[in-house]
Amino acid sequence: MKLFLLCFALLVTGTLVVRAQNATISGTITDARTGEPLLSANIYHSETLSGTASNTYGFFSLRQPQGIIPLSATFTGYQSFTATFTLSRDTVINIALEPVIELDEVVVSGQSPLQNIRSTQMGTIQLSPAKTEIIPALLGETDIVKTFQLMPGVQGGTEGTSGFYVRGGGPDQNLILLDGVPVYNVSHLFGFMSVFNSDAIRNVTLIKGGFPARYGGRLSSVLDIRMKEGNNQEFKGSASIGIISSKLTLEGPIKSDKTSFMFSGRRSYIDLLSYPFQMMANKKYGEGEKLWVGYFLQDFNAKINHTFNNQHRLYLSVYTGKDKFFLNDKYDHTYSYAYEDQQSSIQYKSENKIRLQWGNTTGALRWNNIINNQLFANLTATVSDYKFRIFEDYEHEQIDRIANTTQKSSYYYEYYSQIRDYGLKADFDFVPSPQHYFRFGMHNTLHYFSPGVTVNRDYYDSGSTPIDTIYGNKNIPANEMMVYVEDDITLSPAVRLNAGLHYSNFNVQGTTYHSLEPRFSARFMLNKRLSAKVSYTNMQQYLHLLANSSMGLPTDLWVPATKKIKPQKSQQSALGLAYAPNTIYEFSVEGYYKYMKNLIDYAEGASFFELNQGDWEDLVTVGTGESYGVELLAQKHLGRVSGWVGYTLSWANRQFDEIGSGQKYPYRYDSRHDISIVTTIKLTEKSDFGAAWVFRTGYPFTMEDEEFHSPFNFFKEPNSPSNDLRTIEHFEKRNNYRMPDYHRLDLGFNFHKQKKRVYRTWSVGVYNAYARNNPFMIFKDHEWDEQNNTSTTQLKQLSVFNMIPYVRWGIKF
Amino acid sequence: MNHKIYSPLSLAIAILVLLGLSACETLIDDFEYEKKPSRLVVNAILNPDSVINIHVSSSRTYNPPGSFKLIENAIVELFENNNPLGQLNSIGNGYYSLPNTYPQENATYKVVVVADGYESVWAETTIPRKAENPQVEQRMHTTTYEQGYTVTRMEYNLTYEVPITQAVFYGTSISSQKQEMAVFCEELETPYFDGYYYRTDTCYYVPAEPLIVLTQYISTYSNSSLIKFLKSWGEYQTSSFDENYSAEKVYFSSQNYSSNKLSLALRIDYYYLFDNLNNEITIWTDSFDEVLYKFMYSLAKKYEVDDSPFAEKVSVYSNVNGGLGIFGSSNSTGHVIQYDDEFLESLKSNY
Repeated sequence: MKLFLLCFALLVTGTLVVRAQNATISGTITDARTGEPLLSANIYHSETLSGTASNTYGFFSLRQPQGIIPLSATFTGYQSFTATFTLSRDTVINIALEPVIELDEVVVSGQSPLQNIRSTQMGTIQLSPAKTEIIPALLGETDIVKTFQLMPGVQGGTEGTSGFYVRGGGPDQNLILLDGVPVYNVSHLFGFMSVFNSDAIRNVTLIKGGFPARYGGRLSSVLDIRMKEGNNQEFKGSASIGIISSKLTLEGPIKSDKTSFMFSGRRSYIDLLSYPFQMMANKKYGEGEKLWVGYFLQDFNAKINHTFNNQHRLYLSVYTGKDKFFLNDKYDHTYSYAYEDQQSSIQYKSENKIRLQWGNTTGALRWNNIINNQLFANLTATVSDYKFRIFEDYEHEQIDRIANTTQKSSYYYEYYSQIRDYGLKADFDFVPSPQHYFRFGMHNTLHYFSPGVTVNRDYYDSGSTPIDTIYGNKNIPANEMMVYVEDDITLSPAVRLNAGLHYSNFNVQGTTYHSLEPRFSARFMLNKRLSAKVSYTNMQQYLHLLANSSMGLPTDLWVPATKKIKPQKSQQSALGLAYAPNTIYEFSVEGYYKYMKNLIDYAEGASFFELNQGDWEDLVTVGTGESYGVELLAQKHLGRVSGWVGYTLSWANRQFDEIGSGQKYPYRYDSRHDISIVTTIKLTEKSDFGAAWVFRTGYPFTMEDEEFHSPFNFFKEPNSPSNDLRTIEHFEKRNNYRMPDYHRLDLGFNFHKQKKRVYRTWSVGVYNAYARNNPFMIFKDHEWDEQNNTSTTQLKQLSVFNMIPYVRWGIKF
Repeated sequence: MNHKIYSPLSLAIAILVLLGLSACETLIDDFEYEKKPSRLVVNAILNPDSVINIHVSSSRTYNPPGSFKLIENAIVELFENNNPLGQLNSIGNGYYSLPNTYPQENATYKVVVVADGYESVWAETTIPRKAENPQVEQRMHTTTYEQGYTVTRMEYNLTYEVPITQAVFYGTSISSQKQEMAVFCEELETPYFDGYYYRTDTCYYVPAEPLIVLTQYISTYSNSSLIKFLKSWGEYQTSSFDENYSAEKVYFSSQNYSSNKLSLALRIDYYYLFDNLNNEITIWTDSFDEVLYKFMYSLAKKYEVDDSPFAEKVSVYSNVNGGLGIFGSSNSTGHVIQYDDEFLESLKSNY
């Protein structure tokens, strides 16, 4: 560590002294048509090629020698900006780039190949929502997270779900940020869709390794999603109707060039469509009962931003979404009868509501302040709330119409888990020279964990005492603080490195954990088109996810590190080569090794359902993990035909002393070979085509493969017939078998037409085009033959989503 | 919305969605289990009160498909504290016995089994010390549940003396003897002979069966969070006493526990204490060696989660090196407790 700090200090001081008669050019780079800031746009001296790239908010700062400067700004898919001017003092230039997408081309990424090979950042993928719109998707629901599943190093979880597992890490090890706010559950419909509505997204970056010091708190990846700011030039919108859901997005200026807004909503409607049929059935068979069972998901994204002047800009962004399974049961019936001249008429009324629902709400208030032409500040206040709840609310009324009396009773039961965060962040970009790009800042987050709370309320009219109780783990507070500093240092045209330090602490229940994490990555240009990269990161994570292994369910619980359960830690090293022969093609290969410790899992036999019976810490066991592999990616960024081929060869293992007698076993999403081939083709001016083929080695699962006699039920009678011996099914270690290999082909076409007022698109396609029966689950099925009095055991496979066609209609205006 | 369009459109979409989400179940007939040879299975639970019996069989493999075999021609050798005790005799059905030999407390026994066609196996167990009879205090206990209602139970506070330096592994169960009871009685107008008795009434007599308290009616508490309890069904008839007295057990151990007194409270619903013979219960304490405890604990967990899709599968512990099964030991003791007077009065007033 001391050596690292010394090197870091020498590098910084050594390069800072090289300063002459310089002046700074600063400003922002935006899209000329929408006013949206462009992330990672290049700006550079056209002759010396010394330059920089814009940050997330489009801000750049470039220090150059005074004199005549030929300046260029470029961004893939946009017309280049060039200007020559005399730089005599610090200058502000705001650049608006015009999109220049050729009609027969598809542009799938803003970051150019040359930019990628020159960057120190490893294991990073940037996607624009445009890419997801062309790639065929399950049920036509374009999904940015599922698109990442097609990239090397990223495993999709169970068939069709939107969970993702990066380089052998768990689902809790992904830091998912929506406009800088953590989102704790990204799943709709038990994971078959992600919560991110691509219509509301501006760009997405996934970092798999070589994490810069500004990120922390998770071991395996950072998924940084930025919502659209809202078009500040003109009013725009889009709408679409699909099989599962419909979407509407509107954006536009409130005050031109000053204030703009964006909002986007999505909702499914199977509950509404099925309602008349359920009511018809109630009418026919209900006898006073009205039963409505349904499900819906919904999302709402909104953002408003105001530019006070060149220096100050304010953003307010909100996201809320939820999934709800519901059952409403209303009953109203009157029984009238006469018995021995006594008339009786009793009305029974009841209402029962059962819900299973979960959802996230996030909010961010952000202030961008360009303090001076070298220093950019970003101050943010955030809130994030994820809640899973299941409840039953029952009310009953019994009315005696003759005696005119009423008896009432009610019952309410709820189980919920929740995590709430309140955060404050201050991030700064400081660009003293083209050789340095400093980032430093401080984040503080107050977490409230409620991993399993039960609420019970009973009321009886009979005079008994009403019950109103809440018990369980409620609102456990924890404070997480981090400070960081990093510098992107250009030592020479060939050598560039990013070095940083990340310090964090976590205070929970009187226990404080500290972590000082060095981060380092370097790039060496071997020639103009080829670079070698190396990185090392040390990460600590204070949150754990108690996940049931069979599926990614909303019942997975977020819990804090405690005195007993320590924070997760990891170390990751990576080495890679990146090659870009031109601005169209890019090839990269990366090898990595990651070691993780203090991972938690349910102890053998424990499950979510025991959580409200006691302390969750007693249900878990602690272990280690390791993963290593090689990722290859070949991309074609531009042109009529574009796409990528990705291949991953990887191993991911776990070892827990209390699981499987301490033997090392493959992680549940360990897949030896993973191949993705994705292509998008602009067929004509009015149509395009997308195809994706994926293959991966089957995931491991646990299956008994031997049986033996139990010592019980026969032991006391050695001379008796032994046909009633009990047997025990046995397996040697967890995840001892693999499911069959997984592969599928998805095809999709988009047909566009410019109508009088709108630009209309019909999307049709098919998921799993050749109807491969991919395994969702493998289980043993025991059947009893009553005639022969024998039992047979068969192995069965459950498959879902066999050749699912889709159609979607959308307009843009 | 046009209702004529609404209904068929919504039906079509609903069907499409249902089709999409519907699962397809297929039989896997080409799944290949790992090829492995059948292994020897050795099962024995040694107890100082019983002669030594060891059961030897073979495991049933799935690949190649095999069947259980009782091994009758094995050489089963037993060692006590590394001293040979001799070769056990086959007595049929896979059992091997050493007549007139009783295991001794604190002695370590090792079994070595050699059989043609199988890898030789061995296992070891140390006979645990019998648990001291616990000190027992009894009182009536009223619990007010967090949900609001109250239940009164009989509470037996048990305090065991345990060694500090060595963990103990106990299984505690409770039994009692019901009185013979007559129910459904009505005098007959015309008495008759039923072949055995001359019947003057319709009385049906409930025999004086032993009563096993079901685990769901026992609550277990300890002041120490280090004491973990596992309650399980009555599969585990390891007691050397009459098997009918073996009951569902509460398993606990003093692992990671630093006191010489291990206390717990058993709270039993009134129903199970009513109408008992001699107004007494028996508290049975099985002391296990660690390997048997691990085996039983894992087996109990396995049965608990076998049908749960939300829990990981449980591997049952085995200490048989090279094979499967359990070679463990237990040492059991019973302690009879009479109801106290206050409790008897309470029972009379409640029932």
